[in-house]
Amino acid sequence: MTEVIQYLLSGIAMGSIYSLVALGFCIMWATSETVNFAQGDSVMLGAILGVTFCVDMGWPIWLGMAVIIILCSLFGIGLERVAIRPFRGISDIGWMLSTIAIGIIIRNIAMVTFGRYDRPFPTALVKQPIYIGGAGVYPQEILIPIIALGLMVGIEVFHKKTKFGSALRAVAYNRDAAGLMGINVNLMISFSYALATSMAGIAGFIVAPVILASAYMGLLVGLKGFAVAIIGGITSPRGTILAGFAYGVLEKFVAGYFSTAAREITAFFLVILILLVSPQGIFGGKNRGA
Amino acid sequence: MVSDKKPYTPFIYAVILGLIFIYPFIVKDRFYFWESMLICITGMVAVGLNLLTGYTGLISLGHAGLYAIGAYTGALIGIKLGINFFPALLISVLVSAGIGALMAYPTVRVSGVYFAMVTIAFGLLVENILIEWHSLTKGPVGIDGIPPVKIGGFKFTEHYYFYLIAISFFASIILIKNLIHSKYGRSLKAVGMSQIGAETSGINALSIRSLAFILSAALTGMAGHYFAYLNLYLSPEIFQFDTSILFLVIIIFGGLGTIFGPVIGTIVLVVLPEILQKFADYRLIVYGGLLLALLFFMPRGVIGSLNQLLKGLRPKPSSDEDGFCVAAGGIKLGEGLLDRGRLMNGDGNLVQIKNLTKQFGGLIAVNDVSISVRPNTIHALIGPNGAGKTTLMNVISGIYRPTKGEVCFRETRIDYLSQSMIAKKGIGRTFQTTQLFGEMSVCENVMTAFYPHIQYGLTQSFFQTSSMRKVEIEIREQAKELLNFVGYKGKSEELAKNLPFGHQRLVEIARALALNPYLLLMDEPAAGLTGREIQELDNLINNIRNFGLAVFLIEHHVNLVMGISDTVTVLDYGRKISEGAPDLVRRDPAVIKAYLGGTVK
Amino acid sequence: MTKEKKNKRMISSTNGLTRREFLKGSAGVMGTVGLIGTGGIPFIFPKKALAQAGTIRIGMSCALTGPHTHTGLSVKRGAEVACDFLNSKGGVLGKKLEMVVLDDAGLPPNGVANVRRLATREKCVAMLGGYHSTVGLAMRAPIHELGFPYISPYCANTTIIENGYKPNFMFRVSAKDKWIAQFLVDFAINGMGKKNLAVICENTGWGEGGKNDLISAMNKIGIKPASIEQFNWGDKDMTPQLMRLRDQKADCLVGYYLDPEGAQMVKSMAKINYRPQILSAWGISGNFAELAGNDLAEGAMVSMTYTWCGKLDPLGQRITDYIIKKYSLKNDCREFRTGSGTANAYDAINILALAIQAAGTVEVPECWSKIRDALEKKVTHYEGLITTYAPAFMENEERHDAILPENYLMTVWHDGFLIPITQAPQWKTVAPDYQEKYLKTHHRAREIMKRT
Repeated sequence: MTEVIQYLLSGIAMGSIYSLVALGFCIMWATSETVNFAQGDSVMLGAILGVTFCVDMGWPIWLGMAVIIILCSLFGIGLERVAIRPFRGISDIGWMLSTIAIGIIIRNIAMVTFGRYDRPFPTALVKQPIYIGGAGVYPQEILIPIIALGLMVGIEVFHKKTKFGSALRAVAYNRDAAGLMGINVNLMISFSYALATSMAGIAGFIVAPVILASAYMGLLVGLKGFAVAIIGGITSPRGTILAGFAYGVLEKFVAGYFSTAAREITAFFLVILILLVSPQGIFGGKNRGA
Repeated sequence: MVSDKKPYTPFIYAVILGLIFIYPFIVKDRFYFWESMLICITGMVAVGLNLLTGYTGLISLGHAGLYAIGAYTGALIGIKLGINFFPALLISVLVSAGIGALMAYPTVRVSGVYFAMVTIAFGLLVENILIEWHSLTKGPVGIDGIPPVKIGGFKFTEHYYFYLIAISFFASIILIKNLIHSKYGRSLKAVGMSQIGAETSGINALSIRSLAFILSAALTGMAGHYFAYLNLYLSPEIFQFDTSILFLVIIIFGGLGTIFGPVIGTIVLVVLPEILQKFADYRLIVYGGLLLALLFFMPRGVIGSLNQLLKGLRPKPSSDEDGFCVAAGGIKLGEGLLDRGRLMNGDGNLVQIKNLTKQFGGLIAVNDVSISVRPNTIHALIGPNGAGKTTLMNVISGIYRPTKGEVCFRETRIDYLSQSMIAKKGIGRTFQTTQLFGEMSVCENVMTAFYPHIQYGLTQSFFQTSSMRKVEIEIREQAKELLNFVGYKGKSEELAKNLPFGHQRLVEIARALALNPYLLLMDEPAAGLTGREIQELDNLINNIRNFGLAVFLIEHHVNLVMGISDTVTVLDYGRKISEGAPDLVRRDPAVIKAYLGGTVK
Repeated sequence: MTKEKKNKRMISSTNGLTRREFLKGSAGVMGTVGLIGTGGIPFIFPKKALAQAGTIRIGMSCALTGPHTHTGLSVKRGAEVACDFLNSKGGVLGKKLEMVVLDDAGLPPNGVANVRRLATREKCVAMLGGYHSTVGLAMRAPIHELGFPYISPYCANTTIIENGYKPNFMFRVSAKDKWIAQFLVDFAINGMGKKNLAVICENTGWGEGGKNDLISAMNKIGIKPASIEQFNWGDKDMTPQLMRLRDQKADCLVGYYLDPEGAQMVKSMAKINYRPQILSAWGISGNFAELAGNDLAEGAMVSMTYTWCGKLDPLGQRITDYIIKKYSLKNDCREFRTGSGTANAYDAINILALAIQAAGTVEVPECWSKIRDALEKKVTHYEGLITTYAPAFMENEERHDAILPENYLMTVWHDGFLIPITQAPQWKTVAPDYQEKYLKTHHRAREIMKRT
């Protein structure tokens, strides 16, 4: 039983990170029908900037978080302008490879400046594990899902209750019509990119204390977040969030009860299966791409 | 694309083969010699990927997976089963091709970005299986002990292996080039440009995509096999996502959808790491930057940009006249063109739609409609917007399946058939927004629809036999005849997307006629035409009918409709509300009410 | 929804080019020509070896970029220092030694290409390898195809050197996974008195090989591992594996893994309140304590050939001072991450120099087989940094390894530093008869202990 609790608790923590990343994919896809292959690297930015600001430069956590949100948003806006907008609607290969290229560049700039080694991000919440039902978790690992859920709820409220959010939803529903209604579509798309990348940045910031920060950490997180978005349904934010948590937990159980070998294979196999059987994902509605 | 074989072609081939022969004697440096072989191998992958992504438009970000499958299959059966290089090559190619065929199936369900995701997952899946399946692949440790290449007792030195690889590369370029200059090439490109346009021209998208996949995978698998026996060591790290990206970058750099793009791309990108070494830590940053620069400044690649520059330098063709000019009355058409209609006798119905209902969720678009279309008539379908006319036509041409009821064509049911099958049975189709193959010339657009009638096969395409080339010349002439028939007076080599709207219409009609159909379905053919053009269209439709075809058309231009139709059917809210000769229908109060309102809700 | 394809990029073009498009297209084509030019010219006209007249070129392929750069730097520095010291004494055969170092980023395909580059293009007399065993494994085929001598100053996989080739062109001045495994098992059982060993390794070429070597080593002395676990590079949480090990009541974990994963492993251990003794091959000799925190890292034991922390012997001190000056490092022994590599490379270059001397020629490629023979037979005595080699190598493939297991150094993480166990409080936990045996074969440790 202890095992199960252990897997659940650490699974939910990692799963909420996948959910945040995947939700970012959903948001970007909803408004622009594009996918940002550098999304995982936004997680990395949050992590290494967190170490740089709060460890190297000794800033308080809230300040580090705030600056990271700003910087990641700018990154997202810049990326959309440079890598997505010129190719959107014209050439899929164009934005796919552009975002991949930007990922390569960011990763390697990080490697050159931040260093090649993993680095720790010691916060108060990863000093001592606490024990729940025999299973040990760092308090940070409990904080992560809380923050993640809070973010996601906040975003949903924003979408549904504010005027700006409605405009975003309009663009997601029908870009051309929204444009004809006077909504500045490009602004909305920029915003959605800023939102998605800053979410990823926050995810990196809060998870780095648990898993160490490094220049290359974004690769696998990005791919898995992407897989989660596909499995949950890239058109369904709630489905994606659920899929993220489920996937994080599933990973632990598969590694625990079968083997670590099966873990990665499970993800990609599921992606192919879902895309064949139900391309809109488990929870997705009618998709526009298929 | 003219398929006449230029007389100097064999001479060029001989020169290239000669160069291959003397190459090992000129390049003495073992390092560069080895790199040359790697270039040829990578080039084969590029040619294969170019066929898939460049011509057919399917983005693959997982080709490293196929490369790995070819390499590991070849290596493992050589090591574990002791099978000789050459039969092992055949097996590697078959295995890769088989998997390639499987990969075509997802394209039925997903396309575009979603399909790219499938390929990404595939590549990563293969890589992880290679890492985890220790008992077979020895996992990350990798496999070595790959036996040397032999025939009987004769062992291949580096020289001879080079010949094998270089000739294979050269052959793959030529064979793919020949394939592109054939009906298969046209169909491949067509499916990539407009799937619906291709299907309704008689091309089964799944089949042709499977062909592209199989060929692409076979070439990639073959390259992988060669690689294994060149490198003599395989490990999963060689076949990562980055490798798939590199392949894609190669063909983009060279030029998507060009013949020599893959060659230039491979040479530059295999040499590039040498140059990047200078940048040490910044190496990959420079690579990323170069990639971005490529996408911004030279998205058509080297060869593509060169082509564009050369075209830009040629003088602009003289402006085409507005409108088109249809000869009223009969034109003589050559044999094989529009002659099936004539063979039909007048009894019985050409098309029998029985109690057709089509429902989308809660919306009933077509509600219990029965229509008969007689051969050699012009039958119009009219009704207010949203009445279900296009839906009905889409059911006939196979885009939708009926919810209830059936559609019969020449006494057989067709409502469960695919679009391409229906097209082959003799139903042509034009669309409200034209579904032409934009990047192909006008002539090629029409030639594409001859696909079901062309008899030559793959082998003849690969080798551009004289009988195949004769057929190509013939259908080119026939296409021109059809273009002339519909009144198209512009250049036949003009790219379809550059045409003014009215001309596009005509070309689409000519293409549909190339099927030699019994029935032509037209969805609002007059939309967007000028008054004069509508008059010409009137002539055209009449001419078509005079060749024995039936025409079933949706139209809003009431005068056109009433003028030329033999029968008119009126739909409103999915139901048939009136049917009969134009004069009757025009005066039917139910019809007037539907169009003008009255007390309609 | 109509898709409006703007007349711009990948797919469309108008018949007449806009001026912008023309300029862009031309820029692109010119750029390409330039690129091919700068790259292609060396390709077409291979440059002559840049050797200043009369230097002996020694090649090296290691990871100078990528996540394991510290390993490459470690061996590069050791080799360069050795060359500098030898050159200051006049060099070899009257010529100076010159290192030609290429980056392989730890990737096998790059390593394979580098072998060919170093041998055929750079015209080196021999080469040193790097840290990654997978690269070493991949190099076996091209090395023997060319007949080019290779010495590994780090990568420890057994079958790289015990490779079945005759004549065998590959040598190693470093630890051997097979022997590391024996050393670790011996230390655990006889030194620390542990009863229930478990194996935990990373899922890579090196980890796999190490895992197999540990199992064989245990079988040889008649014990079975309590359990065998694995994890991947980049894994952050090993609680599943550790819980299984805890259930098996393993009191000592022997394994092959690297700093980041090792750090996450001890953190996972703390989470589930399970603290067995850790005995590791040298993967956790980098920033392990920095990542895990000194407390969690305390007591982890690592098999090395050399460590630059703690009290040093005179030669070691001299090299440390030189390296700090030459590469502008901080005066902190933790700058010498994966420090065994530096020491190994230092000794390797010296041994190679002796072999070149004995071979008598540096004409490439004829000298290659002569140097190989000399390495195998003619380096009969060398007092090195790590140990005294007498001889360095012998003819059989098992003895193409210069450092013997009795010379391996056991180190331990103490207060955030990786120091020799003889200088740490954990020395007291080692059984006395094992202490005696250990000190017999580690004369430097004896010396240092005497001095303090």
